[in-house]
Amino acid sequence: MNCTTLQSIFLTLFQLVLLILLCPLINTFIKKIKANFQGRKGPPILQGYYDLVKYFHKETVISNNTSWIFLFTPVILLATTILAALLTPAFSSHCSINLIGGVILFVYLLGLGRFFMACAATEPHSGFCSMGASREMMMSVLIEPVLLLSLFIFVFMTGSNNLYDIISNISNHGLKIYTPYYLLAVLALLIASIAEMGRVPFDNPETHYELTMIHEGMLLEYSGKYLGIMFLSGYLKQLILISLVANLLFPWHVTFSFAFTDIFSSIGIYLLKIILISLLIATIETIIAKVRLFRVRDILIASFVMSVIALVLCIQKGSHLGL
Amino acid sequence: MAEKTLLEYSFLIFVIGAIISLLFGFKFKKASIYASAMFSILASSLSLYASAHSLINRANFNFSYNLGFPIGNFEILIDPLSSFFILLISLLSIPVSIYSIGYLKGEYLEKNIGLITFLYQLFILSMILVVSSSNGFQFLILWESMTLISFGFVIFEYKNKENQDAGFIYLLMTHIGAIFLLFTFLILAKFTGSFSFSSYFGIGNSIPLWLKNLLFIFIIIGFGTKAGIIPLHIWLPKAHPAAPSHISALMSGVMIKTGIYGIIRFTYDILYPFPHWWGLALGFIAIGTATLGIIFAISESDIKSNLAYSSIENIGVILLSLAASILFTSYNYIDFAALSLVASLLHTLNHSLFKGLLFLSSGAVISKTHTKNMEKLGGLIKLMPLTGFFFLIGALSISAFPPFNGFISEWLTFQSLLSLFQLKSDTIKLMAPIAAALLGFTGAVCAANFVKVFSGVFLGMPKSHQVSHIKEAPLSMTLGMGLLATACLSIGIFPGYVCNLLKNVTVYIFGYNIHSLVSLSKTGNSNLASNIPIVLFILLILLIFVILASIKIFGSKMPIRSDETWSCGISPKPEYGHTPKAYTQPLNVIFAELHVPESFYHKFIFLPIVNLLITLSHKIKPIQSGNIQLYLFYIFLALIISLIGVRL
Repeated sequence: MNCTTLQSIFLTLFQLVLLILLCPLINTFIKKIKANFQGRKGPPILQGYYDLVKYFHKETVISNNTSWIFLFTPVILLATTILAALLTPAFSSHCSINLIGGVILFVYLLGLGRFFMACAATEPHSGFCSMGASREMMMSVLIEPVLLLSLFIFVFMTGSNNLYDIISNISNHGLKIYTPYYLLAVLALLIASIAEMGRVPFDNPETHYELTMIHEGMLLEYSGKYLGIMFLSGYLKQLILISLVANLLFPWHVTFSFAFTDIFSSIGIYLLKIILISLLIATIETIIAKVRLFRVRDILIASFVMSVIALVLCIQKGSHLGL
Repeated sequence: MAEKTLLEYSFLIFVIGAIISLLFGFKFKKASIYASAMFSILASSLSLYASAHSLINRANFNFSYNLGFPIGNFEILIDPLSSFFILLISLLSIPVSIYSIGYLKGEYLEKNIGLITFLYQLFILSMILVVSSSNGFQFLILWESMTLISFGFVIFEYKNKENQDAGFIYLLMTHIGAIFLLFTFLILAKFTGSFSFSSYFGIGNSIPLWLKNLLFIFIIIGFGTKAGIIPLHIWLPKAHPAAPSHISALMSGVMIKTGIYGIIRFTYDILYPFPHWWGLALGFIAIGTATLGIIFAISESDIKSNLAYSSIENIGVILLSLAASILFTSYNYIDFAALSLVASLLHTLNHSLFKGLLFLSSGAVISKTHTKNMEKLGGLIKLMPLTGFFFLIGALSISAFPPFNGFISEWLTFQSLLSLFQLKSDTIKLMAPIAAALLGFTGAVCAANFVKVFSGVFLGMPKSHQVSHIKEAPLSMTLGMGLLATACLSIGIFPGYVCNLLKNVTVYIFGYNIHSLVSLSKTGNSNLASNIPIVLFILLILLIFVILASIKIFGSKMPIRSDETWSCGISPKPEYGHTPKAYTQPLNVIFAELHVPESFYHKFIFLPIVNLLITLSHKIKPIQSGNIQLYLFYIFLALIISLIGVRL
């Protein structure tokens, strides 16, 4: 193991820790922006951390219908989300852990966590939780093809299915990258990511009413530290998807080097990028209402069609980067 | 030739075992069960060893026996392709045989046990012989006997009207397939003047193109019926649930794969080179089969029909990478064709393992609760923890989640579809990523489906009282399931070894040794397939430990309290949760347009054929008068005609 390997592993770990530390903040930030738009004051910016600390110190009460699956789920959910975070570049495009599978692994890791979450939600045998599970799986069926197809366009553009390679490849091209199909593909990815995060217009993260909830419904029977972990993995997943979209929409300055100045400047730019995307998400949440459950299908099919159009344009133009 | 001797012994042991367990069955039922399990484990281990050995060495030999039949010698061909399929069959037979001890003792002791054990061994033997047979005529006979033996299992509970129907549909559909195969062999025999496969090999260049296309269609229909491609699948979801569970595991796990074997054997060995449209056509069939199969599965509440439909989906996935391989071959990208073929074979192997596991564990549930209806089950993970755990592993594998084996083969399938992008055809460039996205879609529906099955059967509260008093399955059953679960996990973590074995098949087919499969798939590192899944697995385990430890350290130290589920102020009842049907309601709504009812296929495919047959037999009836003079006249007529035929 030579010096660069160590350095790159350290960099990856640093990136991971940064993502984990940042994710509650971003969630509160979106809340705060939304509140400002609506003329409210909103929670303090550190509320996400306060909540997690609070959950970690509360007593855990579980339903007596549950088995080991119920308590194992938060663990596996966080583990798979962290693995997915390892696959996603944030500020550095230096990839130290080249896991098999690339974008496909990314999508399936999120799927694995969801599988357990849906299973656990049916365990307490409460109608609300099961309804959340049923709706979440329905959404995932619609989201996954869109997510994959839009990511495949970037795979074809760069000839690699590793997200680090994709980002570093794309970020070399400056403004030339903004072709119509590229933007269409990013838009399709954005829509799929918003759905995957469980945000308006697909799901409302702030309600607990049985008619509207999807993701929150599944957490209903969780409490204490396990609820905290479920929240943390939700935040982390949200930040991963935001950084993915941010790095694809603004493909600049994702550093490949180990130099401290480069790393610091790209962290700064990365923060700027995710703040922009968070603003975008907050704006969307403010101006658009949550759609009816079965209209979700139409939006996601529309974004699937968008990626198909992007694909057609990409083929017609002949992908201009590599391959 | 050590392999040859071993295989001969294994055939012999199957036959002896079948006879012995049939004889025991009259008087000593338990002895018959043990004898059957012992003999089939022994015989399968021998054939497993022999096939693995010949696959590693890429052995290619044939041998024949003169059994005194008029159709010629009994010819056996062992090459890497048939060794792989023998390996597949023997590998699943061993755990299934172990499982059968407990299963048969629990369920079938007062029934005709001799018949089950007799047919069971002949069934495995017939499958092994089908994939190693190298004579068209003999192949058809074995193919038919495989069908008939499994038909015996389908109608084993013959008093049940549903099983009679299932048996009839099964017999009819597979015979339609067999007719097409018969035509295929007759056409080939006309061309080469022989029924022996060895004379068929490599004649693809001498057959005119139109005839080749016709043969390809015949092969797809003939073998596709057995494999269960939509719309020829209608027998499958009826026949598999009707059979005893360990047989369902074999039927779904390996019997339908003989169809895949046939398609590979006949396209690559006989019809090569291919026109471009074959791969595309097969790809369309495959993606249709995969998506519709899983959409049908998710609306099924009968646990075994659900699994049977999901087998249809997996056949679609297997055919999808096979289609990619055929496309690559037709465009002469041999290395990628090999990669896709490996994907296809690996998924064949993986599917047989996890589908076998799922059928076995659902069989354990059914034998304990006596119901196949998921609406009545629930909460079993507390009563049958091991069965539940193994079912979970099967469900995770089939939903293609890392680090299990399904992920590896699905990932290779994705990889081969994405590689299609480099072909110089815009149609393929467009269709391949869409097919890959649809594959992702089937994966997601599959996950949704197995959330439904797993949570419906094992989680929540028991939904009927017959569930509340059951016990864990006996040791032999859990051992059988455990072996399969271990296999699923180990292939998921160490796919490199299996991929190297499968590479031997592609070396045989394409005559070309690919240096490293995964280096083709553009993830950089060259020996990725062998070591990176371990890294993933280790990372996952590590993370789980870190998270558990941090929960312990940073979390509150108060003990976990367990209480009633909150049900709006009244005490919870089983009816309050979602049943599996309610769970799938949103999915059924969004798929409403796609959800063609089964009656559609019955009305437009099955019934016309049945009606045609009935009308035909009515037409033929008048010549059967029962008058002996008339029959003598027929014989005389036949003699005259054949004499004329000889003369001409």
